Amino acid sequence: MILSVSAVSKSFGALKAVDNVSFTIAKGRICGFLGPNGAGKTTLIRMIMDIYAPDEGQVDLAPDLVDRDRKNQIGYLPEVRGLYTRAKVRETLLYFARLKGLSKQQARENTDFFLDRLKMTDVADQKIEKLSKGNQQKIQLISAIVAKPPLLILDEPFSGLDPVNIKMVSDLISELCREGVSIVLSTHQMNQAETFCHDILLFNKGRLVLSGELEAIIQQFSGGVLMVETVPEIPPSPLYRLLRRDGKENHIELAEDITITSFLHWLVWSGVEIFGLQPHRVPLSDIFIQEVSRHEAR
Amino acid sequence: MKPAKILLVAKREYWVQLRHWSFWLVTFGLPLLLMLMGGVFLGVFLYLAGREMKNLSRTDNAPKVIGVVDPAQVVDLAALAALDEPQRDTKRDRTFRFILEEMNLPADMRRPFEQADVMMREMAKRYRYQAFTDREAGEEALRERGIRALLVIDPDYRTNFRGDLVYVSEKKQHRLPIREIEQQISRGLMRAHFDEATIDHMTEPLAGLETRFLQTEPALVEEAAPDQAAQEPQRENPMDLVLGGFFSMGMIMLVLISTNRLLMGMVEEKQNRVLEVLLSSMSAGDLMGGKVLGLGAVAFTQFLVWSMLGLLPMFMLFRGFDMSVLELVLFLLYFVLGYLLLATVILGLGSLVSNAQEAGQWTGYLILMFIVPLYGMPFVLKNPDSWFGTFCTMFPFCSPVMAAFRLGTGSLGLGEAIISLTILAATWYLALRFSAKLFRLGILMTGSAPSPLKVLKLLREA
Repeated sequence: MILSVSAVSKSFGALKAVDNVSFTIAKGRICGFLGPNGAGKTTLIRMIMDIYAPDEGQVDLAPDLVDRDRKNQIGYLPEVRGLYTRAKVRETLLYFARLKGLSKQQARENTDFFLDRLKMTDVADQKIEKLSKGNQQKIQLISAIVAKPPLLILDEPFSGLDPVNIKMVSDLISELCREGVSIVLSTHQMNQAETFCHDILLFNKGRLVLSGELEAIIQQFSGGVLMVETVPEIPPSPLYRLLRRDGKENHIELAEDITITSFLHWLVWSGVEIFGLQPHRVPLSDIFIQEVSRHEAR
Repeated sequence: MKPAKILLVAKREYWVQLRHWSFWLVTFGLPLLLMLMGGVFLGVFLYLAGREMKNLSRTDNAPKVIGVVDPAQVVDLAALAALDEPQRDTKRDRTFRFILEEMNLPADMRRPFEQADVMMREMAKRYRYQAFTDREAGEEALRERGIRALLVIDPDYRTNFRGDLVYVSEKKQHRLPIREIEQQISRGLMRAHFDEATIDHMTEPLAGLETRFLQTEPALVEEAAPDQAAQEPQRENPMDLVLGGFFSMGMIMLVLISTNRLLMGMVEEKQNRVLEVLLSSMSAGDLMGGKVLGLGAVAFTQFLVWSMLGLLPMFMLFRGFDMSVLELVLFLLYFVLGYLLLATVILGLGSLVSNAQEAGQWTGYLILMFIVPLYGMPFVLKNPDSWFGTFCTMFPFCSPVMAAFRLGTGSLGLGEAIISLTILAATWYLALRFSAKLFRLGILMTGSAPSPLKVLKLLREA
């Protein structure tokens, strides 16, 4: 665990922006912060960043990080970008790196490394206002990761990027994750969350409405529905319920407590030849809409 | 609190300002502009003074003597001759003395002042009177410029009251001491009927009256005790007023420019959203401290440059100022605390707004309070112990400017300065606490500025 949020609440006047939220983020995992606008994600992130103090509850870093300056341990890419547009790229990055507690030498090395990694070395001595929106976005990302913090909070990291740059940034995020950096990815793009995230946290109206490992959640919402291509037809059994048959394709729903592995063993034992098997996946966007609607209806 | 981060922000703010062309324009351009205006003003003054000298010397170079033809014997020339030369030591005389004796002016600049001094001394001299036996002799002396005017009394003056006042020409008229002559003629006329004591009494009938009061009330302004007056002397050097003005105006300019810079910088950072990135690396208090420190250093740099540009020529021209090291230290304390107070409050309030226009509305009243002492300076100069001077010296938002002025003029006592600085420091501490709360809450606020009631509510919530 790198971050623990326990029973945190925050109100602004009569508005309860975050209501009794608890979760943990594991080391080296990417956790998606999902939720409609006004769900309380930004307020929660600001509390994690120690910009706002929670009214109740507490936010803790891993025990091995608590002795150090909390703000130095977390890199933050805010949704609304902010850079000194009249300053030069390198001096801006050096400044942000120094603010994160790096020495001059370390700041210079890290800045040059990430500029090179995102192919921005050529523009290092240019003023930020002269850069394209996409390049400004990459500079903003570098400013968040330049200190190589163990926890990274990225709020919509792909907005404003073209496909080439999306690929470049995606690779960098995956690389950081492989290196053990924990990442909080706040996004409205469900396909991106599905691609990157190991875990998701779904918020609505300040409350955490769904949390867990992404695959488990998808499987849970997919309800054990499979498409199996077989010859001959699958013999009847209480192990499954046939939903539809389309040529060799059998759309089936597994009975409760029956796993895919045990069902496959039974098929082989029954003498059925299997040509293909595909679990039916409910898209994350459907889960998002379904859960938010359910929460709204309460 | 993270001192290293505060210093990083301060350093950045400092160098960003110093690298901007507007800093150099204000730092060097403003004093040069003021010097240029001062030079033009001095040039015009010297030109006009020179021209006036020429006009006056053309008007008449005859001695300051009035001829008197008095066959009726009504003018007592002996009494007129006995009148003392007036002892003159006016402020204007002292200023001329200071300029000519203490200042190291170049010869070209010195000459008009010398001429003006001679002219002033000549104008201040008494007229003398010279008796002539007849009109012809008097007019001859007038034509030869031995006298400036001729008073001719008719032989039958005691009955017809006739006479002439003769000048050389219409252009060469002078302001004669008519009242003085009239008094002597009156006395001459009365002498036929009264003795000298009665005449004295008739010419000044109220001179012997004594003033009495039925009731006495406490004085509104207590007269300073001799030792107190000795403790708080007004400076003798008239040019020290320049120092008072320089310090107070310098204080206003520096504080206004630097707080405006602070506010505009913050509004800009709020608009381009860089504040949230900064706050992800440091606390709001550290950010506020770094900004105040950095821009304070900018203001101090500006102050040093202005001092060199403004004060060095003064030290070169004058014998120097009577200001002590203690007074300079006090001035610096007022400057630092005054800046910190205004900057802190402005940052707190400024963090609630999103654009320069709203920022101006919020901070206008504060700045107005800061410059209020300017309007009372002439009054305070005449009476340093007045309630206005004392109030402005003690009221923290006015005290930096008023104290700077009074330090310059030498009318601020050490005890008064210590009390005033203590109040200023305590107010700054309170302002720091409130502003830090507002800053933390307001810095990420967007949309229109909150009302004053909302601000109070925010403060309570913080």
